[in-house]
Amino acid sequence: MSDQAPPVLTPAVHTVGLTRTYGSMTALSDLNLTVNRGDLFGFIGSNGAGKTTSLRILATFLTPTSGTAKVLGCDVVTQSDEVRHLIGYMPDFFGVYKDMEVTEYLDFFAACYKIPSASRDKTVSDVLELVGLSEKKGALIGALSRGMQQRLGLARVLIHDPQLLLLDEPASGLDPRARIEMMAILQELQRLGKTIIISSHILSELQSLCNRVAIIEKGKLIYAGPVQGVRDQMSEGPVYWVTVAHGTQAQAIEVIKRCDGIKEVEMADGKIKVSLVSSETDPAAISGALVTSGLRLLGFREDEIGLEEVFMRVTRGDTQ
Amino acid sequence: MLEVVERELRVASRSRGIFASRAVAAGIPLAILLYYHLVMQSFYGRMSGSGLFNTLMYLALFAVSFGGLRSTSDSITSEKREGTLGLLFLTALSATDVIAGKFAAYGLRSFYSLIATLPMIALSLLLGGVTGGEFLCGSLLLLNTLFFSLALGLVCSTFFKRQNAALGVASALMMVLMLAGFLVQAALEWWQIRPPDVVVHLFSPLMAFAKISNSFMGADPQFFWIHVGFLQALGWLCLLLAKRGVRECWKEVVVANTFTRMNWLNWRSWPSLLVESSQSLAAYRNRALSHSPYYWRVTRSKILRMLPWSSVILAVLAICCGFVFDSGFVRQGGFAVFVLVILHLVFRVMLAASAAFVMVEDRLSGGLELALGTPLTVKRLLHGYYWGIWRNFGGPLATIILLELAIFSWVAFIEADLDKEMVRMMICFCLNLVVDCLAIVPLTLWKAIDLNKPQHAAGIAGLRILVVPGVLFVLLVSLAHPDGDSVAIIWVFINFFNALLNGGISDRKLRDHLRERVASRFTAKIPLV
Repeated sequence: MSDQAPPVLTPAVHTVGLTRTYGSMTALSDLNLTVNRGDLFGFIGSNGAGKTTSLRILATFLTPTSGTAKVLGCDVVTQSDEVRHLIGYMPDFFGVYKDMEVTEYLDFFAACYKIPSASRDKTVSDVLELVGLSEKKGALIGALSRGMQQRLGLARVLIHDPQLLLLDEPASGLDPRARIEMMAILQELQRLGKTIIISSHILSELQSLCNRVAIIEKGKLIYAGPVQGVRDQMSEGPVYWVTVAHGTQAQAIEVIKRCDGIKEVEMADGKIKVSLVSSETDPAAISGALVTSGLRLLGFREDEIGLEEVFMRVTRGDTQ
Repeated sequence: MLEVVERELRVASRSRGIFASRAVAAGIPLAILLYYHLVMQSFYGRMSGSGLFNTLMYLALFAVSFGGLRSTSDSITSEKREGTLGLLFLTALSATDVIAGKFAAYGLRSFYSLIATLPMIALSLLLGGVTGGEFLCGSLLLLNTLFFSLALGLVCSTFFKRQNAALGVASALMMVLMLAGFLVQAALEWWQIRPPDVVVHLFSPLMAFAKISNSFMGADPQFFWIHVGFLQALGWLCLLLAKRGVRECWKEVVVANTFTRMNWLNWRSWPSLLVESSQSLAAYRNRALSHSPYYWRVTRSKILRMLPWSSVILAVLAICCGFVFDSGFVRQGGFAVFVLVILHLVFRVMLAASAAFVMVEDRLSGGLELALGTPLTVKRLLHGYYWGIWRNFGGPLATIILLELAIFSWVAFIEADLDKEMVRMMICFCLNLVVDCLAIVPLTLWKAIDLNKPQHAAGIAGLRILVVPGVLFVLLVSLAHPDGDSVAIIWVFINFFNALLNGGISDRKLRDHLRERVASRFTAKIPLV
């Protein structure tokens, strides 16, 4: 693997006003995005939202109509050859030659990356071990399962030890076990210092996997940042679920309503849902008031907003 | 059955190609008719319609013989590749429904093309020298041949997964049928047995037509009807086989990377003869990949490497067989020259098919797009393709030229007079082959970037390299009436100019636009050359 140190202080990906049109259709409009080194970055959007277009621009397959995109400090248009050395792009199709053996396939791409023949065997063995395909070295690609072919695609992406991985729907069509294994591999890669941009429709998995996400709709960036930060951007306060002893819910609601910074209190599924005006309101004041009133507090937890909910809230389901 | 027909016709109605094929089917005879009327008659004076009728009928017979195969050879293979054949059998449809439906749907398309051709052939009746009976028998012969051709394509389609393989085998079988009469005749004459006429005219539609045509062999309807019945029976046999085959062929088979252990008594193990040892494969891979990844990609299949050699070996065998038979024509070397002409044609077609096959497969699998996402430059990639293809075809091409040298020397030797005309023809012959081959590779690769079927790309390349200069040459010679020496110069000039133009432009386009075209899944198409 490469010993070259990455350039200091440049983000992994930085786009400014990135726009791509196809005739009269605007696939990507004024995308301003920064992905830091070491991020596991989720790229979320409906079908036709512009995710693949963005990734293909970053992978140097498409030239932007306007705007700039830099990958590890290199411009994707003027320094495309350098960018290709730095990235590993896994598209939303397999791109495998089914009549080749696993080793032949990886050897072929290693040669495309100009990896010397002396070190090719070791590199191939290393990546196969990393993705858990060592035992399938001599197998025909056509005989591999879908999950294994996806892993092989990941092995291909890693063959030249890129610093940035662009993965377009890497887990689509995989069974739960294969998906979980794929996610574990991605976490391991992040631990090894890779920056990963992953587009996926399986939002629940991205939530636990990614440290930052971007939501895109109709080619426009709606949100980029930590998952929990989206609530602040939407100007909604935190939500808490309060559980008290049976029969004392009405009294508890009255007590909570008297506290400062309360936006709304309602019963839902036998629990009390408390919406605060802003995140500056101290939730400890609520639990304190309930205890002081002599009510028996059985549970008190913050409602963690899911990525699916965030996605549904911030998008309208429009496609192009 | 009607469900299958309905679906196929609906799909076909959305294809622009189907309308174009009908226009071409009517346009080609019309062009020949115009050429005949405007050029030939002005040169030779008024002529009867029989010559025109025969020309059009032979062309039409050739077209239906191979056009029908082309239509149906992908009917079942496409369903197998897409995995939809099994879905048909999950419904109430039976094997008979599927085969009859496919045959009706694909046959209807070819039938309409044939219907578009018949009025053009019928125009020769107006010129005189052709009877209504001849025209009706000719039309029946065309229909019957189309029926058999469609059935043969269908049965081959059930036994293969790739259209190329199905079409290749079906074409080979059709060629055997066309030549069977001659082969049987030659074999019987070898044993000094005079073959009955019916055997010679039984198999080939071309020979059957010769029997109804007054101007060639004298009308003899008896052999014609025997041939019609024979071909009809063969067609039904093919349909029956296709029905039996389709019941089984949709079931998935496990893909394995090892052939059965070689056993001469078991034909299933014969492919293992083509498999090299893993050590030699790995060593070759290492060497070839260092040269260019795509050089290895193109040359890794031993079957593809052996294909061009097979055509040369077959040609040599045919020439050797020719020497064995005691015939004046053969002894004079005419047969050998005839074989070489066919070999030239087949070799060019194989070269185009090979280039198209590799490019279409690389593009459709997505592998080419992924390779272009690596630091591999377009120049290095094209180098790989070119050198790979030439590694497969260079040896056979050199052998063909040496073979030609030997045959022409031998002809000159036995005639004891080295004719300048013959030497000139030989040089033209060899040069044209080399130049055409050089142009075919970039032209086919460029065309294959946008097409999903390799045979379409190969067909367009063949049209540009073989047909267009041929038509230009015929027109120019007919209009200008040059002397004998100039004819060869005109021929070489047209061919060179055409090949250089097509090859050069295609190579430039490949270098400039390959990356853009391969990655243009979402972008608007750039107009082709």
